[in-house]
Amino acid sequence: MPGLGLILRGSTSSIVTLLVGLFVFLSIRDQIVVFSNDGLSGVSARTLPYLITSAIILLSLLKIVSNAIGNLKGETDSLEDGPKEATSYLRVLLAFSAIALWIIILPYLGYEISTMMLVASVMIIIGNCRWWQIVTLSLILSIPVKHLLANVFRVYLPSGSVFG
Amino acid sequence: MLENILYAISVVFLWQNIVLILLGTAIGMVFGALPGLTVTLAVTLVLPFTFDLSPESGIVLLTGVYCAGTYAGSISAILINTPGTPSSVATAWDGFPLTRKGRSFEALSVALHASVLGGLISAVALIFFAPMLAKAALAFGPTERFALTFFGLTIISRVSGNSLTKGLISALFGLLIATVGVDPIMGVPRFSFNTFYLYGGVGMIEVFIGIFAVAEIFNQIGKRAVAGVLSKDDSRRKIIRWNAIVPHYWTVIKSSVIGIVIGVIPGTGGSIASFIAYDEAKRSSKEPDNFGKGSLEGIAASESANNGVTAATLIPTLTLGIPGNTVAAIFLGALLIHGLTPGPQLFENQGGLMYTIMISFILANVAMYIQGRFALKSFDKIINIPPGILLPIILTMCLIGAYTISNSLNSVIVALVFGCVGYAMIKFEYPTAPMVIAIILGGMVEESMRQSLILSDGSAMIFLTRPIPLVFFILTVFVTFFPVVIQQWRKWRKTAVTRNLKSFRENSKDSE
Amino acid sequence: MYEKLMIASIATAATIAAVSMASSQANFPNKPITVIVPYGAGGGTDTTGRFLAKEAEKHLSQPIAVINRSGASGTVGTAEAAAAAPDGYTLYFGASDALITTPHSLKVPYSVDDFRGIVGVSYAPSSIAVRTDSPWETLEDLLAEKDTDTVIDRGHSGVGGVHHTLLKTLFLETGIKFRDIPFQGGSKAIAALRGGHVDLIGGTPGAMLASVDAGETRILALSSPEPLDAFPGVPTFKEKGLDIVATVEWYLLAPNDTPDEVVAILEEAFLKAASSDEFKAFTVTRKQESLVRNGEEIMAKLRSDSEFFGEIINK
Repeated sequence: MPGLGLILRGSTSSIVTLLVGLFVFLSIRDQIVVFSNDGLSGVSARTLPYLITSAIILLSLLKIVSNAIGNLKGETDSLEDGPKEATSYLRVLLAFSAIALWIIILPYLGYEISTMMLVASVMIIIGNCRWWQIVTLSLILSIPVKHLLANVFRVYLPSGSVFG
Repeated sequence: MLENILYAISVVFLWQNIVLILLGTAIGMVFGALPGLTVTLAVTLVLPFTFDLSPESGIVLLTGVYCAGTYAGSISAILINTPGTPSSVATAWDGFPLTRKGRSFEALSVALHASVLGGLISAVALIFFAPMLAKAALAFGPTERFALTFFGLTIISRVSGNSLTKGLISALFGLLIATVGVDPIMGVPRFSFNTFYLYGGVGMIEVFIGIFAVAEIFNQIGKRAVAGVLSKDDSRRKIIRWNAIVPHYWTVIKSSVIGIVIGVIPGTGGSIASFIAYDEAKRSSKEPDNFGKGSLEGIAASESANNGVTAATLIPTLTLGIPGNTVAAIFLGALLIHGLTPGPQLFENQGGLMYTIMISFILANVAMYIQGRFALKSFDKIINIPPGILLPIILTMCLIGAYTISNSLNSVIVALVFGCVGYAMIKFEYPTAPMVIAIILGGMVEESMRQSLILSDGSAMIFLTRPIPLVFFILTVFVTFFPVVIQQWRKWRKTAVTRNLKSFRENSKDSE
Repeated sequence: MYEKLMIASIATAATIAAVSMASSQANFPNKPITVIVPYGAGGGTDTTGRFLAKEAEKHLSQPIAVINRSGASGTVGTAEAAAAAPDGYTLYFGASDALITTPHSLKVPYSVDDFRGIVGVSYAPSSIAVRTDSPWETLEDLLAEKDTDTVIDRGHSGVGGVHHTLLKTLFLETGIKFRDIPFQGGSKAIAALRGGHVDLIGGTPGAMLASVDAGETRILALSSPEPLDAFPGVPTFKEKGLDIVATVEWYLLAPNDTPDEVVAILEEAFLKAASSDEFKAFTVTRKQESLVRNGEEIMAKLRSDSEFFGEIINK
């Protein structure tokens, strides 16, 4: 009996879509409260979400099954679920964390400081930059931008609760 | 009528109004090109300044912003794969691959010419066909709107690239995202997960910023060999030749007409027009496989259509007092503040003003062309900036843009979440075009379908018994299945010929 | 040497902080004021709010920026306004729906008590309208459809709003059969009426202006307490024996905890703006009725309206 790993190889994305579809399907009852249907049509606010999620679940299952059959036959589907070139997921994760951190500290430290930190970290992650480029760009993107937005466009970015 | 036209020309060409047009188009271009700032926002911000101007000057200013803003969405769509306005989504499909190949200048050039031509044709339609088209627009009720938007949805099958299943799943998730928010018919919240922010639904712009810009930034960061420029720019072609657009003249005309027709229907919007025009251009093109990989024709179709919408949305606004889209509603508001009430009597009583609006559209497109030519040369240099500097700038702009949408971090969080989703889609090769189409059209499709079913007491026959939906239904079936049928027929013919040839040879061998 | 520098900078910083804190209380306003409109730009409420702001700027020393926060029938903007800092720099200009009717059908994180009034500027009745080629010439013709098999397709601008509620009450009391078609926004409903897709709509008469003047639409009745000069010949529900009286109010509010001195300054400026000839002329063009109320009066009206609609909706 071939291992589960072999059968499911290449189906990562379809498993994810299946699970998400299932989760949303199950949460429809809770999330959408209906009192009545639309007139005499029998359609309600839940109809379309049920249809959509059912279709997602079916298609995901279809893909998993056809993938499994292909795997059992020994075909290798090189297009499915695989990065071709070398990708540094670590850098992507770092970039994501930098943005997430920006979102978290923005209300406290204000736009200028948070953005300075974000720009500097992103530039370090990408690499290939001189230190003076990092400093200059961080300063330009934080302080003048905030004032430009406030005075010309009347768009106010937060100044941070720490500073009152 | 002639004296009205002469009056209009004399007013529009006053030096103050010329200055206003140039100012308006400049503002529009800036807002349209920056992701997160849309043309609607630009028009909203400019509106208060029109109160102190004369009605004609106010209109002139708003027109400049509107036309240029719609065009400028193509700039960021082409250069950084993030449409500056929803109506430029289809432009990114071919624009960004061209940037990757170093041909961004060509793409930008075609986009400019196509937009200007689309806008001019639209202005002509406004001048000559306004009342007629307006009457026709009223015939579009819920059933007709469903037929139109459903047809738009089926384009998904043609932009899914290699894997139809992946495209469908992508689209289904887009539809699901479109259902988040308050239900249009029953008024109950859906999928709000107890956060009040999601009552208003997941905003389109922050989703685009996430799926396109943030995801692409992640993508670039992830590539190990992040050295040098994003693409080598072909610096020879620095002159914008107007005859670059000539080979595509028929596409431009067709797409502009599609834009006009859809623009006239209230509540539809530039995106549907650009999708349908793109789809039609691909269908009738001699090189359909180029679409999605860098077809200038595709860019021409998308941009002529979305600028074709501009003047057309004013047709129902001015003749019926029913705004064609959000920007038209703002135009309406501007007129109301000056004490003018749109409608047929407006044409009779204020004919001069009406023709002023029409002439200013023409002037706005000309101003846009002039400024565009100057601007393109510098825009194009943007991609020469090393990614280490360019990416942080784009990222910051996107985060600010997302923030201004809701004046809070909520929309930034949405952008980041969709950035991850978009990145996953890139890595697992799920096409983003279907999801985006579904998000844009999903709400309209569901709302019009349910309205129609209420009217018909649940009978689906209503979609086949009325003339316009029937036409669209037949069109949908035709366009979806016709290419498949042709393909099969060609295959069959080939095998039949080969078979005949074989048996002929065998026969002639036997007879020897 | 360094200690002196340190002390000097701390002292300066403290002074600046103290002065800026004090100045934000004293001589209000000393920076621009923001007014949140919970609907899209260009709409009826938005244009009214912008016109009012333009008038009020003449009486305040600072500019007034109107921003739109639309979504979910106006609840998104209203929630943001309710949660804003009560310092008088963020105000709210709305029409009845989001505060009075919608909270009874949607769970929203605010209520009328989260606000205090600055001014009420105008109101408009709700109305029902049909096409000029429809078989109903007067309200009586429509009421005669009771107990017949005619099913009327009625359209309106949104579930849970003032117009929808009034339509529900009307059809419920008279027993006429109907199909209910909600639209996203009044202009789509008007378009549907004129295109022949629905038979009757409920909405503010001002929005139907263009269609009436074009001779395409006919207003059958108003829901105001008395007949209005702006609509000669159109009866009210009340005078025809139906107890359907409700109006859409336009008002400017501030968060509840805004200090009294600040509110007094705002009230004075905006009362002048709303009573000005320019603004009154504007309301005429929009077919609104000018009725200027001060802060307390408008809050009283809003509270009673909220109760009134609460009863109807929860019946």
